[in-house]
Amino acid sequence: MTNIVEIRNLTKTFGEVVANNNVRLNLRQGEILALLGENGSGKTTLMNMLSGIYQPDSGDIFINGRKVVIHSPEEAKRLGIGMVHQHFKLIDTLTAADNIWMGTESEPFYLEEKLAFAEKCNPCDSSDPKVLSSQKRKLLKAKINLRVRAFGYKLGKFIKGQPLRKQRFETIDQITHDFGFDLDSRKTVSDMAVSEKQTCEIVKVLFYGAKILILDEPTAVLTTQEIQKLFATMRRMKERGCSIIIITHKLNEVLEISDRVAIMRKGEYITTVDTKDADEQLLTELMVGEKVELHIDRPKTDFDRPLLEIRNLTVKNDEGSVAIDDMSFYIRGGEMLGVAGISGCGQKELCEAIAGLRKIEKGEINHKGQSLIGLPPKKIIEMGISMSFIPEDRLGMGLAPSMSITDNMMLKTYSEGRFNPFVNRKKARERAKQLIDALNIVTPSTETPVRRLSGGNVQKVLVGREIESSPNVIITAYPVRGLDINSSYAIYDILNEQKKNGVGILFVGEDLDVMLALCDKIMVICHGKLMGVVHAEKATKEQLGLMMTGALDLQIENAKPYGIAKDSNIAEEAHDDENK
Amino acid sequence: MNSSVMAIILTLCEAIRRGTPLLLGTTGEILNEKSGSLNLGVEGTMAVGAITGALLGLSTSSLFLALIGAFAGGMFCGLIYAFLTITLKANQNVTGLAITIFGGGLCLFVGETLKSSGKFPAYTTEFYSVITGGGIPLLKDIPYVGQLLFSYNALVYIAIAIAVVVWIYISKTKSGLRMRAAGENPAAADSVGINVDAERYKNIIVGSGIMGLGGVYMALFINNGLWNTDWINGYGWIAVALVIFANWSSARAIWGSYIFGLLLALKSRMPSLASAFPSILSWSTSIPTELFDALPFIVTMLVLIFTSMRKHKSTGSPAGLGLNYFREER
Amino acid sequence: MTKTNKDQLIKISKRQNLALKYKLLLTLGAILLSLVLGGILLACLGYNPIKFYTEMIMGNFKNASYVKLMVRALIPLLITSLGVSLAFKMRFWNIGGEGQFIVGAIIAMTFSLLIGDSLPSPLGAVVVVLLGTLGGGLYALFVAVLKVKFNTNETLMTLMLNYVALYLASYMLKTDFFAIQGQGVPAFKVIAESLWLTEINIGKFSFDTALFIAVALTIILFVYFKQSKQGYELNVVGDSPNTAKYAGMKVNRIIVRTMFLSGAIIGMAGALKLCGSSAGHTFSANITGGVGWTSIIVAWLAKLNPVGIFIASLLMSILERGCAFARTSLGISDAMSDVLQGIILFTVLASDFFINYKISFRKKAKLSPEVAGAGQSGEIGTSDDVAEERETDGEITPSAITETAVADVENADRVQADSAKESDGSENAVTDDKTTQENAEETAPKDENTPNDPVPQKEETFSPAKKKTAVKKSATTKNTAKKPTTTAKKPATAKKTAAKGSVSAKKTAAGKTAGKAKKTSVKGGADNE
Repeated sequence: MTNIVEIRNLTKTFGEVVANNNVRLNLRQGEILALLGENGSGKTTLMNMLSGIYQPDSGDIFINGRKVVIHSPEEAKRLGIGMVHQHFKLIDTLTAADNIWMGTESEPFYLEEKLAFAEKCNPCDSSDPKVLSSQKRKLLKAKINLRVRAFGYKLGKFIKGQPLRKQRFETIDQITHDFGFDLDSRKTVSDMAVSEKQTCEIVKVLFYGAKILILDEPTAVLTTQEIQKLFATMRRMKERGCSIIIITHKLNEVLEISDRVAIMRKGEYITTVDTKDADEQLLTELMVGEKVELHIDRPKTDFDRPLLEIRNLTVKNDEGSVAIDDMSFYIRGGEMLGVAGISGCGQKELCEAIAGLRKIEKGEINHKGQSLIGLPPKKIIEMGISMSFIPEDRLGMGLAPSMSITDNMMLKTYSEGRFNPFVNRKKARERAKQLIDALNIVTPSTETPVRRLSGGNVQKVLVGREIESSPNVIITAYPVRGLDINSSYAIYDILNEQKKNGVGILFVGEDLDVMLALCDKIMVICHGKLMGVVHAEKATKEQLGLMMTGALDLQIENAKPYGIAKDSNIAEEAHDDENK
Repeated sequence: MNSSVMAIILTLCEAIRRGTPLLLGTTGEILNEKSGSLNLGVEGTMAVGAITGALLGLSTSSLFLALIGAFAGGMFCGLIYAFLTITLKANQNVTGLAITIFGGGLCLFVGETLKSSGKFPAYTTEFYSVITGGGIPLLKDIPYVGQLLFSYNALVYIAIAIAVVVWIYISKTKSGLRMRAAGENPAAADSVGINVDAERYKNIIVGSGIMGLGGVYMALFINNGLWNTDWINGYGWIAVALVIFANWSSARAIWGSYIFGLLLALKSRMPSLASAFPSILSWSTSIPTELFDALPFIVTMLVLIFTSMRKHKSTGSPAGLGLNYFREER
Repeated sequence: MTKTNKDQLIKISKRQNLALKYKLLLTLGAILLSLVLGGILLACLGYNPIKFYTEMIMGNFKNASYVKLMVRALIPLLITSLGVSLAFKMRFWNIGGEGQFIVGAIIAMTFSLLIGDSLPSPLGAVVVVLLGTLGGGLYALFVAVLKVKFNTNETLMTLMLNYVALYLASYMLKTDFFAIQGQGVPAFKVIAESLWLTEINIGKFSFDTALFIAVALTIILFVYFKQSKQGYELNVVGDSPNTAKYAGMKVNRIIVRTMFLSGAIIGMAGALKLCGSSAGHTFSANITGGVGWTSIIVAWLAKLNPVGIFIASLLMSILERGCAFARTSLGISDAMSDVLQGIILFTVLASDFFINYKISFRKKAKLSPEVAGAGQSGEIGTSDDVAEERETDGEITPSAITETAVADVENADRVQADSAKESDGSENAVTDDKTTQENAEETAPKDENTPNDPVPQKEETFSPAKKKTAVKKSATTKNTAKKPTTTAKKPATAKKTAAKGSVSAKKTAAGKTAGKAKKTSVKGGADNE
């Protein structure tokens, strides 16, 4: 079995973060390989290197045994590699046919080969000067002739290729049909449903002759039937000789469709197993690894009454589909509730909804008995709810990149002092200094623009600032994303401090080990649905893993609803209302 | 009876006359914008095209050379703009304004210098007849219709032809498709192998050349080849507005520019119209001419407001308009 | 397509930060460059650039009255630029400086004529100026509201409004309210004396009142940006609207407020000019003097910093006045100032590129003293080596003179024989390249992982062109042998060496390489001769 793709010792670092560390991977000709791993395991980075979007820092890629360096998506395309990304690269205002077809170039003239051949056929090797010169003349004539013909050929092809013929729809339709898809090539992308867009992307990639297909989380946007259709497609492609890599989290799908499974964890390649030898248990173990004993403090506090209560919350995401589906949970004062879930399961939307940045379709959010729905973000901040979400690009939501650390520290408190038109930088500067010392933020000064800090330090500023405002509910998402051990621990300490002060903390994280050590309870979300809430002390990583992938739903298992506090403030209110 | 019909026809002729430079400017700008570049340097580009074309044409008495010169002058401005915004990734708004200031200044400078030193070329009589005459020989003598449709100079017809060709290019050819893709979503176009930078360069330069033609039209046909400091007089800005009015389609721009041309023509034609139709239009004599001057701009503002108010936003405006594309930031 | 070769030649990456002094240096350099370019233009038209520039300076500083003229040009420019920068800082492209200026002057004029003498000076002047300020603010507010409500394009709206204001102003000349008719050329009325902004005398110098206002405004705005809450909000909204929203700021309100202030300041400039002596205490259709356009250049030049704006305004005023003076003394059209301004803006925009981005050239990999002119050092990654590899035009390097080369040569023989048989050269040329390629790889010293699997045969699915590219890319083994097969030309070269036999092949190859040091590199030492 030949390896059509071989990846050896590929390393990619972003600043301080090692996204891929000496990763190896083999894709065999004609197989479907699933690439499995948690968030932050480096799967997408690896595939991005294969498809020419990133360049590796070191390591080699071999296609068909030949070493290649892939500089751009076009080069990947020529090598027969086609990737269908999670975020589609389609032009909304064009039809499917145009999107697919617009990258085509006409058949080249092979000028260089023909010139070389001409040279071979007209050797200039005579010792007789007269013969030699006539040989040279013949060669020159042949070369000129070729060049003229090349130009004419290109010109002709260009002119001929210009008019957009109606025919192109039929051509694309034909090709789509041949591949076994059902796509209306005349439909404009903006009119398409998500699954149709995905089909379009797949056809596009196949159209350019891709023999190595990479699908990044393709099933995330599909319904069950559509998933089955996709699988049928994949098998069809396999029969035609394609080799497929599918990045996914869903164990059931892995087991259903793949021939082998490669697992990555925290930027490292773990191993590849044959699917027929694997089961969910094994895969989860490989994916999450052994439980690492982290010495993170978990101070015991007296849990207070529920500070924040969410009931039947339903929230939509930017694309219009449901991000949070009828979810209920609560956070007590002095309690740290972890939120585990695969990236994209709705955590971002959840945080935004609570902070007042996203519309709520239905449900209740109650803070100390008071409803937060419809309140402007500023009010929510004033009520003591602080939200710090560290997105992948870190600077997007919480910080102003060109402004100094001091200025960013003041972001939520600058308007203090009702009648004072001026901002008080002194206080903010002191707080910034304290923060820099406490968290070992590496920066030339307090006035350095935030975008000049390295990723980890940016986060420290962000988290530190949130803590500063003495909130009573802290929502923090990925606060230690990309940080080194020491900084991470510093942040855990800060959070624990707050916990001891009676603050309720919602901790959205990636690292299950950390959450198991740090949090009191952990709730797991899968596809916007609550899978269950477990006590961190008693939970196992496998359990969490299974819940994250949807294989285990505690609410169903244990037949009781999670997320509703017995001493809820909401119930009291209702009670009061009745009494009135 | 005859005179009122003539009044209308003459007004329409004037509308077409005034509308032609607008058409050229708009078509050029459409090429710019469709590929993703919001080129605010139309006014300056037209000015440079005007001076180079006029100088070349007047000194050689050849309309053909005038057009070549104007196109080259426009391309020059386009090249500067493209280089700054694409290769050097400068802010498009500011660069466009720089072109406007520079181009306008250059035209003024060269013109005034030549004028004051007496070296500004004057037109020969034959050239003058080219400028003021024109029209398709036999057809233009047809009563009324001939005047209305066939009596214009070559550039009017060329302008229409260019607009049609550009329309075909954008909507019906493969290169046009790729160009639209580059303007709409450069990242997606890049992923399919379209060279976004090259597309933009091409279209900016050619579009600017077309704008230059609009400029020389102003110089030769509206100002009759005589130097004055107000050759372009804001027509460049109207063209920018016209692009929106025409919803980024150069075919629509044809009648759009004639409508705006009508607004501009009314300024000079209103009195004769009023006397031809006293019953309907007598009040019009009291309208200040400045209102007619301002009318195209006011109409554009209204168009801007109404199009932005529309909830259902399906415009021809490319989504990537005004944004520079840097591949690294994928 | 070999376009990708070029991509790697020059790598452009975003810079983290450049020290302030370098930024200033670059900007200064840009301005100097533009003066040089302007000088060239002048020379082409037959003027003496040195003379021109000296006259330009003279025109400003020859004597006190010239300085005063320069100051009079400075004031409206400075104020307007401050106003424009306010909007620009928020990334709100207020191109309507001309219009807001005119409106400020119109409103001031209107009320001046209405009030006449009834208010004592300077109260009257204050009232009139304030009203003008308000007028300018409202004119801008209109656009801001539309932007916030409907996302109307502010660039175009403000632009259109410029022309509306301009034509309104020229219309005013025809009315009896504003102008005196019936004198051949109608002239605008002059406002009442009590409304005049006179000069303030300090010692033996007299300064326009408006100058103090302008300077005060600069300081106020500086403080506003740096220290005030509103300024802080402005900065955040301009930097990252999402962050502002997230922090609870009312972004829309901030935008509207700022735009109002921007227009108000510009309107004030207009009103001040009306009441001041520079315009003769009267209105005119070109009361702006083009300040709405120049202010944009100034604001951009100064990177929206109030202190910078002061300096840049000074510079531009000197430029404009100088050119006006040069017109009288040298007869050079004063449109030169527009041309120079345009060029300055171009060069500064270009210099901005070098401030924000870093260019690195691909480094010629490995040693080799012969590698002259191979491009400066810069960042290297594995990709750079690739690019360098691809540049080879088929020369065999001295280091290739190992068994590898011999193997190549032998293969080249084979290539020869094979291709001679085929009628269609293209397919085979490429195929044979590949074969040679593969063999070369195998014989190369293995200092890194090589594929374990046997080299597969060619795939039918790839077209020849694609194959070729693939071949090209794989010519990037970092080890010694420079493969002679990255382009189809190589068979010819290989052929030549093959024909001459191995020993002479070495000599020829070496000779060739020594001659063409340009693009090759020596790997693993030339210990083989």
